[in-house]
Amino acid sequence: MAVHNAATREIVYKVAYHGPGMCGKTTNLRFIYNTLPGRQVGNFLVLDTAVERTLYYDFLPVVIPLDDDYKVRFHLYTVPGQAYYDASRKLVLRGVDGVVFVADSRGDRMAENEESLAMLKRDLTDVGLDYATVPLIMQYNKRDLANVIPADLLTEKLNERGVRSFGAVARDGVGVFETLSAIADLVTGRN
Amino acid sequence: MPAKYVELKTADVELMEAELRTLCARAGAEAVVLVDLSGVILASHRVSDKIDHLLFAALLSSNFAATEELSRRLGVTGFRIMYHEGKRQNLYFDKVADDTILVVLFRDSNALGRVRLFTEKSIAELAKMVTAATRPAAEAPILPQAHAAAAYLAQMATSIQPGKL
Ligand SMILES: Nc1nc2c(ncn2[C@@H]2O[C@H](COP(=O)(O)OP(=O)(O)OP(=O)(O)O)[C@@H](O)[C@H]2O)c(=O)[nH]1
Ligand SMILES: [Mg+2]
Repeated sequence: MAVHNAATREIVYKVAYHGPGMCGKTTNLRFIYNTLPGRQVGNFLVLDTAVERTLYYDFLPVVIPLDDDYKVRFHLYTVPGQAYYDASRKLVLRGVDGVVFVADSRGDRMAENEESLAMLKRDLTDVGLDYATVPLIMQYNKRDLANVIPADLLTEKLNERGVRSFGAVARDGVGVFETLSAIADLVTGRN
Repeated sequence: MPAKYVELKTADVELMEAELRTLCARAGAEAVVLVDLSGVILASHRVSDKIDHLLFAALLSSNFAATEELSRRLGVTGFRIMYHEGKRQNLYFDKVADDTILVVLFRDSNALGRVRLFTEKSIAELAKMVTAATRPAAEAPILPQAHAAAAYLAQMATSIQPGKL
């Protein structure tokens, strides 16, 4: 839910990174956190297990300070990808202004991608939103690995709305800011 | 089904803060905060600057939303109130509207009944204010500042080049 607060001169948008387990959602946020200067990111909240699997969610506020002392904040969340954390995924999707679907490009992950997309659709409906209209960007991650699924095929199977998509190697930061910028364009209505 | 857009004018925030101030005094609370369940503070009174407000709002809203989901799955209807008891301080949550909660932080020297009573009194007023400020996202105006921020990120995307694919 976008909030414009004229008293504090702040505008806030909520963005959720969704996708199957281990596809690289937390890695996207970590790269953003490590790259932006300290005044542009808040504390990075990671609620995970001992083996770095997201348990509840991650939260990273990105703050863009503007000349007229306005602040525009993008609250980035990741959902836990593992199928059995359905309830956590839903609360993260509550009131989202935009969704980044991170697909895992590895050759054997198509079923997980499709399953995760199906869960996204269902969960959005459950929180009163609609997959058909929610601002959406696709990221095809792990393009560095051997045996990746061709981007065309990922598009054919996953990108039925024909939204903008980006290949990425989130671990090295490739495609991470392109993706963030694209979803920021959508939620702010700039593009 | 679009998401929503909340537009808080300075006067709206002042009205909300006045209501929160009154509640805080009447209930003898330490701090009160009005939080949208998407994780954003709409207004607050006396929340310490030692707390990271952004994190606080994210945790409060997800905490409430998780319990709401739990009660839904258990078939509990009309879930509204949640209470956390600490050693010295307690947290009291009450639902203001579909997507908004009011959270009251109070000391154990204070009676829960008092907090509950005055929270209830404030809720209707706050609900009206929140409803008046809320519109479908499709009706959100163009915000030049938001466009400037998106443009800034687009600039970042071209200047940060960790390597092309
Ligand atoms: N080779 C390669 N590995 C990556 C890439 N992006 C992320 N990884 C690795 O994939 C693993 C999982 O990444 P995470 O970001 O934790 O995945 P996640 O989507 O948050 O997973 P859950 O929290 O379980 O949903 C980590 O070991 C990352 O280092 C990439 O682009 N290429
Ligand atoms: Mg994760």
